[in-house]
Amino acid sequence: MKYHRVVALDSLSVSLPSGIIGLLGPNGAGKSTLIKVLMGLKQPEKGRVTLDGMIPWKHTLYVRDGVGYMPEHDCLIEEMNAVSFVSYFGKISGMEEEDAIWRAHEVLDFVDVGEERYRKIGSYSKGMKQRVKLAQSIVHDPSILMLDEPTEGMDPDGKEEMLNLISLIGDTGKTIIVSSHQLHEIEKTADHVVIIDKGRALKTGPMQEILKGDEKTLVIKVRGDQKDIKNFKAQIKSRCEVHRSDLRGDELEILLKWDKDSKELFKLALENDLYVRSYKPHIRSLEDVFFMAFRRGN
Amino acid sequence: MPLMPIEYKDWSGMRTKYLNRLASMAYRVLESSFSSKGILSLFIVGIVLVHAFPGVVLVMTPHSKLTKWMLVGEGLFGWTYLTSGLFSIFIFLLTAGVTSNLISQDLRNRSFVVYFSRPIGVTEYLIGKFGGAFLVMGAFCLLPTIVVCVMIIATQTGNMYLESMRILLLTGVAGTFASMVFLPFGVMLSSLTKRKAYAGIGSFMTLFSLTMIGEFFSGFSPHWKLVNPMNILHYSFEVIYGLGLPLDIDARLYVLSLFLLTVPPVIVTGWRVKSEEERV
Repeated sequence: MKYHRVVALDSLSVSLPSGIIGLLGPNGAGKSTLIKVLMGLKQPEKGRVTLDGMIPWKHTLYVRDGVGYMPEHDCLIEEMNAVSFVSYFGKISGMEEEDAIWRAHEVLDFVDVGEERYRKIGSYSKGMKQRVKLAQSIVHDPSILMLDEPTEGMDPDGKEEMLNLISLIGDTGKTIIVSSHQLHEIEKTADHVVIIDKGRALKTGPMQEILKGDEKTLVIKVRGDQKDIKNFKAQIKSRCEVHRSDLRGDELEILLKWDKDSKELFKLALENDLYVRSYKPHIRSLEDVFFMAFRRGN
Repeated sequence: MPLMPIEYKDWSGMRTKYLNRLASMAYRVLESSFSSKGILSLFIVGIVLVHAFPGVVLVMTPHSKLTKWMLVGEGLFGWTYLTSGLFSIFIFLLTAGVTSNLISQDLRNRSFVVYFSRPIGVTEYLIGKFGGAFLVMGAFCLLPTIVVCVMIIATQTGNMYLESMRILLLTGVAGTFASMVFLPFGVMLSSLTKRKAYAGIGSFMTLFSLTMIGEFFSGFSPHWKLVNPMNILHYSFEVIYGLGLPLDIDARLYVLSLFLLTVPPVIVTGWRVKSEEERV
């Protein structure tokens, strides 16, 4: 998939299950392009894309009736109020007039837009606009929801509430693709992760599996003299793979891959007159996974 | 204890037919046009001046049937109905008012993406928008003329109802034509700017300027008459009613003028919306 001469998606092969899927990647990674391809807004030069067995750019009517999209940028008609806007797009998605108005109120209640719904959208705060954008994407009750940077420009409380709303929708068994830069938000919300860069998938998998660290990867914290710490570090480096070491004053934290008996590690610390302050298996954050995937991918 | 958030509820209604979705778009154009005080005032004043007064005069004039001369010819005291300059000016004004926000609004708000994330393509988008604008223009050009004709038929003294009905039918065609002919030009200007005012004023001023230019230069050559959009409208009425074109007007140039007024604007509008779809 190319934009002029820039390759936006390149040999990307992913299978997306139901649940909340975090789509991660830096700017220009191809996240938005992937979403547009899935919606049939863009057609790749080659390859195969199916949504529930349908080809998005061929079965446009069926696919788009079953898909909701919340774009990253502003897209609301500012001269309309939220009820008119949401119900209008409900009608375009195939709802009867009465049904659309009733449903617009229902989804606006869900996203917590109160009496402001009767005011023109132009007078709304950024957070309110994000909520209305979410409401328009769910008004026709799609089975697949694509959210492009849903918390963009929101205050911390608003972000928290938006993530809760996404989780609540996710609880109903829908497939929700959330594209974001905010790794901690994805870590908190998503069940499945797809990390892409330069149009290629660097890592995909269920969140639990992705975060599950290698059992042999440990974090050990020791305290002692600088000289002893130096010796200890050198000895460790000669015996195993050290991923990261962080010296703060008289305390050293090492992330290492230790496949021998743990007693040996304690013995080594004792021989260097160091106190072992903590010893635990490493639990990865999504940030670790993200940067690790990038180091490998690039 | 914090309030529990409202749960997400599924929607289990039936989807409407595809055409209803386009009708929803058209209806919104109609609704937003008539909720504008400017357009509504223009509409009411236009109905009174363009349709009510001549309509009353035509109904009160002794007549045995509805004739094409009553509609496109010169009536009592030199009054004309469909071929009056006032009718054309109101069509220009309403076209400018109705089309000014039609596409510029979506350009301004970047809302194309919301349309195109629905089962709507460029063609459907344009049908919905043009359809809505046509409904408003039809309410001014088609509906009142039909009402006037029906009133004339209802008060006719003769019994040639079939002949009157034929003229009524032609009036339907003429009204439909008048409702549509300037829309492509107005919609094109609306697709070229984000500013409603630029689109509206630009549309009216261009049509008005062409009228002035055509009128001014027609002294040098009758071909210049076809630069005047008002003349194109009047000649078209005459063709619809079977009167034919005036002798000094070249039929090929007339067709070319009509083509230039309608087809290229539709192509430009389609290209603009298509490029917006690609940018989504």
